Amino acid sequence: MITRLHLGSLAIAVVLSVLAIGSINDSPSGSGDTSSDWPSFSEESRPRAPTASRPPAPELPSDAGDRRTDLPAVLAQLDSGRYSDDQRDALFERDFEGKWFVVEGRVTDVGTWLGQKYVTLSVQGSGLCDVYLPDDFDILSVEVGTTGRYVGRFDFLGDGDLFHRQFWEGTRLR
Amino acid sequence: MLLGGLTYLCYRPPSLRLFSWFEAMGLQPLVIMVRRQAAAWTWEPPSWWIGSAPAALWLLSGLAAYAALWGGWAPRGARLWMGALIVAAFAGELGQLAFVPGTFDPIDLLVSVLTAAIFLALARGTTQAPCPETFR
Repeated sequence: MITRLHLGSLAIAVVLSVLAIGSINDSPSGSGDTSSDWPSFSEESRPRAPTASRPPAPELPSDAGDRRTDLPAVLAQLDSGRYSDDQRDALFERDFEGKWFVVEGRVTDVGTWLGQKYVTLSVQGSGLCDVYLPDDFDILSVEVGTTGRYVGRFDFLGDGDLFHRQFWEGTRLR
Repeated sequence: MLLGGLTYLCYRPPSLRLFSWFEAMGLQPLVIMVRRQAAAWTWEPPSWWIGSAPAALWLLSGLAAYAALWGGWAPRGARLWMGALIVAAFAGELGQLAFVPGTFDPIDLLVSVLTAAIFLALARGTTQAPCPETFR
């Protein structure tokens, strides 16, 4: 009897394992994208009743035009090796933190962090960047492996896998 | 489990391995139809639900299945399997910080901890007082 119960438990464990494996993102790096055959149902195809009440996308500040620069150039400057970590942090704080930049890259991940939706971009020469969008967006409209272009406020200079270079208040450009 | 599965099916990006399986099984047209239906609804679940609820429902379903199989949480075998499942759930979430594919989210972990705690509290509450007939 006990053995039968253990066998039943093992069967449950197998089913749960299969489901857990199925929830793994197959193309976390954006390579070998398997989603190309799956249509995305964009925001336009979703008839939302309260469209008028949707919050408008944040507007660029009036002085953003002067400062908007492509991110790789900015990060190349920070990563040039000319600065110590302390100098780099100070430079970031002085010249880049809170400023608006354009970031373009391949979408490697779409998800939520602390309840806020984000898009992770792999930017050539700059590693991974997380773009958090304050206005709600349809996760299904952003496909892994496609190119995304955003403008956002450079909020945090991260390093490593967990803390990517982060943007807040980003706006999707295309 | 059904609720978590539907959330995945309707609202998660199709880059998940699950969708390759559907494709291989020839279920893609059916899944696309379901996703199109979901996209047409004017209501969409909140992002925290889409992101965190399926993992919690997965854990809850597993615990409930073990409790049903063993007739409660009290038997040693049930505790063993339930404990292993809880450890696997937490390890899977924490492992996303290092080697497990995916993005670690503390909310996912918190929701899983709460799910396990609530389930065990309820299970304890329902099985703590033994039925008098047991001792006859």
